[in-house]
Amino acid sequence: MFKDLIKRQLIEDIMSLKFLINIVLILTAVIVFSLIFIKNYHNLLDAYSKSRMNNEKILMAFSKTPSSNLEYVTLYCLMEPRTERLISDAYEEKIPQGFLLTARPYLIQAKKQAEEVMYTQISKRELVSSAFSYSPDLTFIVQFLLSFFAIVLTFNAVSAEKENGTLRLVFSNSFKSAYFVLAKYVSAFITICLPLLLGLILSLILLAVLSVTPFSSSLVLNFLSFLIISLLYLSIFILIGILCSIIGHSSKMSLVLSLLSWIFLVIIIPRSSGMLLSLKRFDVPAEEEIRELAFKAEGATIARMNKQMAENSMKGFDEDRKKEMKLRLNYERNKSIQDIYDFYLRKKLSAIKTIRAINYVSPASLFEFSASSMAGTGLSHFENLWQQTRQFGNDFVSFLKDNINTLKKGSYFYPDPDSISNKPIDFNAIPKFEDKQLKLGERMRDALPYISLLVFYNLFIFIFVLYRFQKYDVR
Amino acid sequence: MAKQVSMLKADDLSKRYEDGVLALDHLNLDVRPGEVYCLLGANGAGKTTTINLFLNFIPPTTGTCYIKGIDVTKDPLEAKKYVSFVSENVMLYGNFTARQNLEFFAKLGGKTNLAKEQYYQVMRRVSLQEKAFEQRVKTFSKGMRQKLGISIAIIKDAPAVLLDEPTAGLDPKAAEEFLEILGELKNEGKAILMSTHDIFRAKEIGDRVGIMKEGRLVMERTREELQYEDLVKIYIDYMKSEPLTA
Repeated sequence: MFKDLIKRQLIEDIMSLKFLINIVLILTAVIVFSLIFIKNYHNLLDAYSKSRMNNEKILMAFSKTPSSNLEYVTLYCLMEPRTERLISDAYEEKIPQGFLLTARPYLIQAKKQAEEVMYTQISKRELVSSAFSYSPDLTFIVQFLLSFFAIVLTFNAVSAEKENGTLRLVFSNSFKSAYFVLAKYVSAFITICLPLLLGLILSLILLAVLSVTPFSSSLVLNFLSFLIISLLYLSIFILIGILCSIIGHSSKMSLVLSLLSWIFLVIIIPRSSGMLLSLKRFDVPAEEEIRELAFKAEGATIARMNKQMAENSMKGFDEDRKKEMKLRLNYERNKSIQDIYDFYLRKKLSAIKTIRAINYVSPASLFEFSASSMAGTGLSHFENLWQQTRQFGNDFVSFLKDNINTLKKGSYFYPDPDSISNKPIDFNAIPKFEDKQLKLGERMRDALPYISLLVFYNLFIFIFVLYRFQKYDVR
Repeated sequence: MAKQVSMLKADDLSKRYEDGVLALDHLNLDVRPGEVYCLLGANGAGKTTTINLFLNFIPPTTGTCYIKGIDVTKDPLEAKKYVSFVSENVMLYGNFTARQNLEFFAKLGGKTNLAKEQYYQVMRRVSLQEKAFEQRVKTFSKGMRQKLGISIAIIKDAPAVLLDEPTAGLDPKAAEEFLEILGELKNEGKAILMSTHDIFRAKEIGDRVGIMKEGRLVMERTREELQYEDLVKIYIDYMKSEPLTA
């Protein structure tokens, strides 16, 4: 009987004009978005490889005469473009897009805009800019288009049958009322699943055919995980649609309730919470202000260090000791600058995470976060990049210390022309920056809280739908 | 001859809606197998409420409904196995054909694995035109939908049939055909409870006729008694009489 209820509903859903419009719209969007992505992806790769080539050129010159070229060591640590960005581009204006590592002064700075990172070294700046702009992704299609379709498909699932009069006839038969709602849910779920599945397959084929990336188990796995997260998300809107059709006494009322719920959850909450970033608590100064604060901190450190050095007379110190003291001064002053940059970057990330926590009430935001976490893009990619950049910085400094350190004694080391020799070094031995993708396990761990909340919302609304329908007046 | 057990029974049944309206006031009635019971009454007299209570669409305020001895409120799923329902305005799934609708509702009624021909036979029995069998129901007239509604009741083959003003809005020929089918169902031993405004047809088909007013069953006559009485006069007299007091 349950099977018959599903079958009937499924035929009605799939034969409807709504479904036809939806599938055409979704597949068109998938094709257009995939083609835009593929075009952008080549630009992204181009920009990324240029940044790597530029790094190599700098390090090559450095390897020949390290001491003389130290001040030109300015390395770009950028996010590696990946095909997963088609799944979730996760571009956030507030998240910096890369890091600039300078050896002298030794600093790692997050850079919001590509131009700031790449400036003059790369001729085609517009290419670089495009590497950091938002490109439409599959998350958008699911988050907005398919969730809207889920609402349109289900807003009158129950109320229309009541208005048509079929509900009385159906319920004059002997079956559990939960089956009726469950059949509506399963049917809508399958109806939504079809365009999504077709869209994802089409997108994979386009990626493969247009030679962006070969089919790999990792890519398929990423698409598969995206499919699962998408279904969890869409299921919430199917349930909301059914709930509205139960609560609303007429199809018109159900439509209004459904649309308001959709607008509130998909548009208002995710977009308006971003405005909270302007609050005092979340206020992060602009880069120029941070730079000024850093200069002030640097000045204070220099004054403090000079005072210390004056108190501890350097007379009687050998050259190495004096050099080390000078290095320490440089180290401390640069550390004070670095601390300021890191402090505000952490503050910015903390503000973004706080806003995210507010957005947990919106399934649309949870979907966005879980999709980007699983794809390894967005905030998790940035945090991983930061960690990798710091690790790379440490490796680079350690390499200099271990290989071309001119200090005879003393544990102190700081990349400074005085502390490193001009003796050529093996280019291949110099650490190189490479943006490594998070492992699947790590990505899953990142996405788990969001996915768990999506599952929770599903269960909660599902139970509420069943509870409300038990009390539904079928007359 | 042993007294037959009631197939449909209302025992001291009352219904007061949330807005305070007393729609049904201590109704007692029973319909036996092979009997047609017609409920007459003005709009709001409680006829449809009675049917809704039998179908467990609403809970009673007091009293109990029984279908084949099963308390409808306590075990609605078991009770509904033994009842078919035809409404005043049979509404079906418009994008489905007559046969598809019949098949769907037959399966809901527990009749699975029926051949296509069996559905056709039932539709022939209610005189639905052959060409309409595979036509979408949204193109059907009311008469055709009512015929399809009764064919749904026939195919379920339940021992009790509830009809809520099934002939309202039908042309005389269609109404006559409808009543013929009811007669056949009666002869098959079905217990039929029909609410109607049609006094003439109630007298024609009903083994017993009850008149409801303001939620109360104010009169009940058997077919034999009505041979010597004028049902129209009785009905009008009751309708003209003073409102009942609580």
